[in-house]
Amino acid sequence: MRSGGGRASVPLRCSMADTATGRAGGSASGRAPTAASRTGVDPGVSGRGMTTTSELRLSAALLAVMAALTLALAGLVTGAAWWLELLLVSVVVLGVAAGCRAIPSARHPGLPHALAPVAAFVALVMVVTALFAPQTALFGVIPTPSTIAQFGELVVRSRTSLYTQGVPADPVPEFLFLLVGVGGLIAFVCDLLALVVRIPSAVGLLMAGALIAPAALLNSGISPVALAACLVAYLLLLRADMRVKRGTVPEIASSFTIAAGAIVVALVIGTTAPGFQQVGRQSIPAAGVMFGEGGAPLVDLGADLRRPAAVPVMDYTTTAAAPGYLQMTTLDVFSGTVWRHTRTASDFFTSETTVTRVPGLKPGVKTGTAVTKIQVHDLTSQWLPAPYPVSRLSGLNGSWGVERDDLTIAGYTASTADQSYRVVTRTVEPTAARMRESGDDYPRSVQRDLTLPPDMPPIIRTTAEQVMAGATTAYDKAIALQAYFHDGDFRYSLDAPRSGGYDDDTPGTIAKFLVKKAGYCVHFAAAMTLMARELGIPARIGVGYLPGDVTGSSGHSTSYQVSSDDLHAWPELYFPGVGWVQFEPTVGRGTVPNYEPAKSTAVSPTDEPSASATADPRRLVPTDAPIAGDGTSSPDSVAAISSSGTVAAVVLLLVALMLTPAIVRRRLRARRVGAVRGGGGTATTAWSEVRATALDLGLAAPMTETPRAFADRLSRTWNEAPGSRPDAATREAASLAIRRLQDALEHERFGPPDRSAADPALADDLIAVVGTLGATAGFARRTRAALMPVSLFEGRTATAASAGPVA
Amino acid sequence: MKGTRARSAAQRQRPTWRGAGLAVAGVLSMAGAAQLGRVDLLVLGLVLVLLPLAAAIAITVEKPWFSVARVFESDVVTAGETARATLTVRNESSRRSAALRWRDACPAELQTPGFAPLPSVGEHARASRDHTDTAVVHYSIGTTVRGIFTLGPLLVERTDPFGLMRARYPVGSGKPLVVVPRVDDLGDADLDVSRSEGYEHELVKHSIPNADELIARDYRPGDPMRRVHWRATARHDKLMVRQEEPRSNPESWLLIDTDAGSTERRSDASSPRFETAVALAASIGSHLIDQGFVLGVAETAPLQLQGRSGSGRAGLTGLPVAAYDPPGGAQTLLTGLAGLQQRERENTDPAAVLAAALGRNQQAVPTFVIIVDGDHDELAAVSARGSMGDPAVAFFVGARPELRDLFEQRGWICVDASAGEAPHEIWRRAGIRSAAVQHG
Repeated sequence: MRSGGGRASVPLRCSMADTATGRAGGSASGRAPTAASRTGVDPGVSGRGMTTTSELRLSAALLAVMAALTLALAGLVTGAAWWLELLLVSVVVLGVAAGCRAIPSARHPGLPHALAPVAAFVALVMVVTALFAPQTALFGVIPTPSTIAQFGELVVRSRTSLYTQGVPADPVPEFLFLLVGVGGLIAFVCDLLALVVRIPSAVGLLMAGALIAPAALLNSGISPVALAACLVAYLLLLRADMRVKRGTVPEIASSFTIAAGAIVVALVIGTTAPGFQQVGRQSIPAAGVMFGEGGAPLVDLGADLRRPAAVPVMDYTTTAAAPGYLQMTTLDVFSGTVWRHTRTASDFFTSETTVTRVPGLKPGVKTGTAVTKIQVHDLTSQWLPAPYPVSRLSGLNGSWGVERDDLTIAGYTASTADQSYRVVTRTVEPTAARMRESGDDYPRSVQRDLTLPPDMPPIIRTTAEQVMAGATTAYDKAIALQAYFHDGDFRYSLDAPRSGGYDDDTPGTIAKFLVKKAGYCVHFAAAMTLMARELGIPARIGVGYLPGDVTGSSGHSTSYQVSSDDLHAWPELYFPGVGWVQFEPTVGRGTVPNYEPAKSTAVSPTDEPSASATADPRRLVPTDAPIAGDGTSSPDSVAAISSSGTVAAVVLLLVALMLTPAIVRRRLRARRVGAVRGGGGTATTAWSEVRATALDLGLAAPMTETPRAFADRLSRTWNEAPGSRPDAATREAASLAIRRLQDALEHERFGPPDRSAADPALADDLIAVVGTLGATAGFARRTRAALMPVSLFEGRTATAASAGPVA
Repeated sequence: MKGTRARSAAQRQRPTWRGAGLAVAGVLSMAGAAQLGRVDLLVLGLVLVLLPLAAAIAITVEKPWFSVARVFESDVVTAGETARATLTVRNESSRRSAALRWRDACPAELQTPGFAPLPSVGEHARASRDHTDTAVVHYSIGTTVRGIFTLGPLLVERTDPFGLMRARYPVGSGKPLVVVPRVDDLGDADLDVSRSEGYEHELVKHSIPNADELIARDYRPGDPMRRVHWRATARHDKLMVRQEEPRSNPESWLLIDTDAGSTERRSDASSPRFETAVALAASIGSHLIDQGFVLGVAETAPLQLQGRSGSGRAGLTGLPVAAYDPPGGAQTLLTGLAGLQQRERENTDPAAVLAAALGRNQQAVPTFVIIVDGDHDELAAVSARGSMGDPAVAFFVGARPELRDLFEQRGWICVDASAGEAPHEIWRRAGIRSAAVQHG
């Protein structure tokens, strides 16, 4: 048997067949399998026991991993330069390592492998040097001490840039340096893990670590496509590893089925699951709120509002009859993509300070005093929430600064987390008349609050002019703008901008918002601010918290609790002599300030709202929850119901489609058995059922095999099956049954032609054989045979061929 | 039913470390997704959890379907030697086999290599001409102890393409491999063979009766003058001598103590002692058979050894003994000894068996007793038959002082042996040659 020649070569085929080093069998046929498994070591193989091809395959898979990671980073930085540079550095690092390993070295077989990581690291350093500090380096690539100094400076600069830049960030060199440097290091460590330490699966941990950045910084988290790409790349890596470890069978079909099945099912479930959202930053701390760290505060706000469960962020007690908004900062500069806060000159202090000046306020405006004690819980921000304008501040930990232009209180060595402090506010109570006569003599310090981005869509200006028709003073214009948003057409919706694709605060999205008339505070505030600037009124966006819910009162002070849902943005307009005045264009959130003396009975800008704004005058703090529920939940749940109906229908359809072959096959079998039993079938009918069953179960049933050989093979199949199922009696019975079937078939085919119908008893034999075959195959194979009867697709040729001799 | 369970245990799919790690990461990720309400975490977690599941389904559906034929280079090997097996693995399925690893299931006493990659074999249907559905693999089996071991079934390990799940399937059935005890060379003819003339005399029947019933042969130098057969010399015209009577089968007897003994004496150390006893029995037995003796072997426990068929020729019918003839009997004896085990004591009477066997010889025959853990009273009865053996040697593997005294009193040559000692060392201590001379 071994001298057959054809067979003997099979066992000793080199385990790395793709190296084309398969050895002929005879000479080495005496080897133990341990030796056989080591045959890969012999020829054309590197000193580390892995072929060059397998190493190249692993390196290629690593490159795919890096490419997928860069795909996931898309959206962090604008432009394509970073992407190209990141790919370049990955290709260089992985390519140098792979090239090093591919060098044939007869004398020192292990040397190229030992040198590969070193060479890769040197290449990484040189590429980064050439990209970011070529002027300081020798020949543009060899780093010098001044190169290192420049790198250090880039790192320092990137820290401040992180603070000021939003997402997506401008492609400034320090960011590119960070991205490329970290990317190159990741590629280097991937190479170490997969090819030196030989734990390719650990690359997954590295990938997860690298993906935290886009998950935390991108608006909507990692896009499912990028995530799928990363997973595919990781699976490619695992597959490459398995081909190294387990031989060379490509197994493309089953790899594809497993990967595609898991990923597609996960994508379908994940993107349709109710209660999950494509959120990015903001919602990373489950308990607390992180606010204003780097990035674009206004965009974050939407994400924070969409949090599935609101968390309490602070408690406070105030003596004000009607508390104002807790302002954290103002956004005054529009950089083209995001609104940013401009830092102005600050007065630094620790623990406590007194602020005497309110920006823009001149004597003649009525002011009051309110004392607020604030306890912050789960809110981490550099900006301190406090009612505007602050006149005295005490009880803070760490060092803080009060910015002179907008009284933003920013922490330098501390954040707001768990601070407990006391704020004395000098409440300004301007009257409409005072503001009407304020004129337009704007000081230089507010000039920048009139700047508009260059590419403003015209709809903002036309809408503003249309709305202010007839108004002459700045105040009237402002009131007209505010009324425009409240006139009934606008709708508060957290999800509409996202589903409509304008969840942003750029002018383009504001224009879209003006058309769709649905959005949340960010859109309302940005729209009114831009429109006010179009009309020549200095405007900025205030960011902070709504007053929150009343929790109790004692004496003349009232306690409130503020939750993450109370995060808010509103426009502030400047009136000379009065200073910055808050407005509230957002429908259903906050309170509309009323500066008209006729109705103004109280002291604060947020006193009794006009009847048109809110029905319930005591509801000073209408949180958005019920309104959001009215506005978004019910359509959502309707959509959810209809979509789940669709999903169910699709699932049912799929199940029906999947079951169709099974039903057809069952009917075919029933028809054949019935035909034989009823005396109308021939032995060929029974035999084709046996063949079909064998095919379904995955056994070969070649057309060329004689019935006798086929019957022998089938009975061997169950007689030699390990285990005790089917039991011995069944095996015996089945062997006899198949023998009878075979006899009948042979008589029919080769005997005298007068026997047309088969013995009906053959039906029982047929059932016995088919049942035993199924029992031998086991449950899994039987299930597959039932669901995917391959014999259906072979059926036509089979019956045609077997019908031939009979006719 | 038990077989089914064993089979399903062999087939059960287990996640590899990698698969388990992925699943755990997936569960963690999904927990995080539930906490944070993030889609990306949810998708990631779902993929990581679904991947091992999909892999499990895939390897369940694509179960390998093989048949295997196992051939040993030699079905009988000596302990310590290496046996070689050749497996012809044939793909019965209509699909090309996936990347598989294989190993033959084997008992712990044998050293077989671990899992090795199985070359991919093509589908059965295509293989009518070129045998691409068949792979031939070899492996060697290291043996250290004697025994009859079943090798197989072939275990085929299937891993999904990403190495997340793996399952092992048994293919075919096992085949016994006989590992016989190692035989020490005990030296040249120490025993005076002629002392045991045997009781079985060959009767030569001549179909044509003639005057001279006696057979004569040519004179060879050294033949004594008194044996010259003058009448034949005269008739043949050359010097003829009377032919010696052909020597019949000289007998020798061996009693192996296969009784496991009482529970308190049996300890964990009894097994190496029994192994030493079996090795000693193998060496002495083959030595005796090589010397031309018919060897009868009795056991203190119910008979496990099987001698020649039709033991009636030696007149042993009815006695629970096995007999081995020269020259081929040594191999049969070794094969029998390979499977010899200590047994719980049952009601056999070795003394009676031995007495009956020895009693049919007119002369004393070489008798050897190897004592391990057997019952004191029965062995004491055996010691009473010492006079019927010459030499009568008792080997004590392990200390049995009272028995030893008894045997010595009754004229046995007593040899102490400890576990693990080489048979030729023990044999040398018996000093058979001097004993034979002394008796002669």
